[in-house]
Amino acid sequence: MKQRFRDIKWIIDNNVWLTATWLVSSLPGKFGYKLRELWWRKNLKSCGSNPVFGLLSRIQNPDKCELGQNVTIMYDSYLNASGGLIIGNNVKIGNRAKIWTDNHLFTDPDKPFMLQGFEYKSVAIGDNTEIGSCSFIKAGITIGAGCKLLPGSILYKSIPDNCIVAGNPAVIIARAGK
Amino acid sequence: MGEEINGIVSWLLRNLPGNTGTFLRYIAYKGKLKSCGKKVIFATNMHIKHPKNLVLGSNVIFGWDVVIDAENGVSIGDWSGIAHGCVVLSKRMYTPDDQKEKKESVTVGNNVWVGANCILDAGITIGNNAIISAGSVVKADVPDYGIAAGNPARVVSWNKKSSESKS
Repeated sequence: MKQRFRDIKWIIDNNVWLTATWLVSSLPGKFGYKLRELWWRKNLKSCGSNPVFGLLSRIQNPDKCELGQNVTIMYDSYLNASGGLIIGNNVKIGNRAKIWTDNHLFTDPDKPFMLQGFEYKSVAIGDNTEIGSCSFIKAGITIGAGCKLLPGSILYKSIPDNCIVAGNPAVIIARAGK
Repeated sequence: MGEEINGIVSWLLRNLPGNTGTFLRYIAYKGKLKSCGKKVIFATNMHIKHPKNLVLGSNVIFGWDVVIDAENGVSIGDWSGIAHGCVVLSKRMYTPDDQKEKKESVTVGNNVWVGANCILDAGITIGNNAIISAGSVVKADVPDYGIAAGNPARVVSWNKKSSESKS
């Protein structure tokens, strides 16, 4: 009985939190930016100074997400932090970029994958990195400092420092600063 | 005035998060589709064009921002999942004259996982137990147990245990 009451309370709390997050994230204008900053500073694990959260930017499991200083997260980008997400200083995340930190498990191909659970892998992004719009970062990837991901790049492998990356699957096309 | 109220209600219905939103969307969308199984999860901000031609199995999961254009028929099997930001098209923008008779409907089998930001082009069939990797653009058929990736999507490996994969 007590367990059931706790479950119902958790569902109601979760729904209220999600609705509040949706309302905060879809508020336009200067006031919306200010409110999002306050809201995510309260909910994130750690957050540096001067973050910018764009319209409709979404963070799942924010209690496992760590942001550095001067991080910019732009319109409609989605950060899934369920496996741990560490973002360095001066990072820019473009419009509609997606960062994933969990994978479905496919150990038994004939069983529905929804009943097989998840595997969680953390993602780390170095300082001064720019992530282009519509790019996609898979679980378990580390990106070095000073990298540029051109728009639409889909990243399957980890990349070292000071690289320029593009394509599907993403490859290193140049080295910055050389 | 009625049109504005209708628009606000549909906007609220489309964007309401959490279990309440999923429940309300299931009730609202179920009657509009051609057929819809049990326990289908519709996430927020989903757009369905021509819902009368869409066939859904049971236990289907949709992610956020999924767009489905079902003008020439789309069917999705049981236990399949379509992740965030996918686009399913069933009408070609341009067809050469010799390919006018080709079918344009999309069929997705059972237990298929379509990763995020995928595009499923018109006229394709995805077999049972297949996996489509994130960000791929599917323009050709994917066989049973295939794992497809890239643009255009090619089968890169097989969703089988290592002893069976040679067959």
